Amino acid sequence: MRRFLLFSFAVISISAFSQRRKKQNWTENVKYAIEPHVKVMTSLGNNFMKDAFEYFYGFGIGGNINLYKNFGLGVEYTYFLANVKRPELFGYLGSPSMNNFDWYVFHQDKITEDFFVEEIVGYSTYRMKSPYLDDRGDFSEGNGGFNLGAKAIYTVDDNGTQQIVLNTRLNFYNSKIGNQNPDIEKYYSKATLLNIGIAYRINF
Amino acid sequence: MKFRFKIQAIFCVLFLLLVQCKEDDASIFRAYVEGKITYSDAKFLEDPIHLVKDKKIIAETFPKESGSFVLAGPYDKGTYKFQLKNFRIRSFSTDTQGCKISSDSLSIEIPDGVTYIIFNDITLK
Repeated sequence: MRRFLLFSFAVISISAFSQRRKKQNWTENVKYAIEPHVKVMTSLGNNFMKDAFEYFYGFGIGGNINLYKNFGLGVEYTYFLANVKRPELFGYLGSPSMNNFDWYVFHQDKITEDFFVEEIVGYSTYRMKSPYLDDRGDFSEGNGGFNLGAKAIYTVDDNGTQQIVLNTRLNFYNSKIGNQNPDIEKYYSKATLLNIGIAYRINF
Repeated sequence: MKFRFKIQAIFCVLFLLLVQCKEDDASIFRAYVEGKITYSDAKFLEDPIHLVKDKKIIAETFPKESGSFVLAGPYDKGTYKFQLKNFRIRSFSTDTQGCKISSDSLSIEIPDGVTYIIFNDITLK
């Protein structure tokens, strides 16, 4: 009996210890990165974002956590500005500014020792604000949509702390702007946005 | 200690995500008006034409030489007007019910809830 107890105690303690070890390993592999970025964004297809505006230029900051193996979570915030190209399509409004959050899951592939590629799938939210030219306040529109993207990452120093990231992403913009004509409603509510950006990543 | 810091960081990120998810207001429209204006005086092209709601401009453009125009602007509810600056409107044609020329003949009044109109032919005095 005593032998059995001793044995089971040993088994339990070993398994508990090994579990703790495992857990520690798991968290020790978690890696963090922070990356300030600049982006250029344009709209594809037939929609008012393409017709009414010039390129959107934005800057912001992102962070990501490599959680398990090569999978991780990330978020990016970007503040975009654009000039109005065709005001008759947009309304009597000033140049828009946009707050954009991208939430995503990524998978990293190691191509060589200092070159990586990340595939990205996620969800984005948008809020585009434009000041009324003939009134106080802002007209605000936008909502959310899926995003797909890829990043190419080059390590620029010996220990892999600093990296340069090239970033491409397709965002599916979705807002709820109503109109009696469904084609016009779609024209003002849906867009496919192409983002291209460059970022400086710091791993810690 | 290090472990705890990391978990907190993950929670911070999740919290930010929750804060971001807010409802969108569904009662925003874009009023979209297009059409063609028949004019005789070339001076007409020098002034902008407007969509006006509660004395506030919601859309502005200059008509093309052919007289055609597109006007679109943010709109929520209520009546609004298609407005010219110096020229008076004699007649117009559209499939939309309820539009009428205002008493000063400078504008066409558009009823509440109408967000898409084509004025096939607006003739000036």
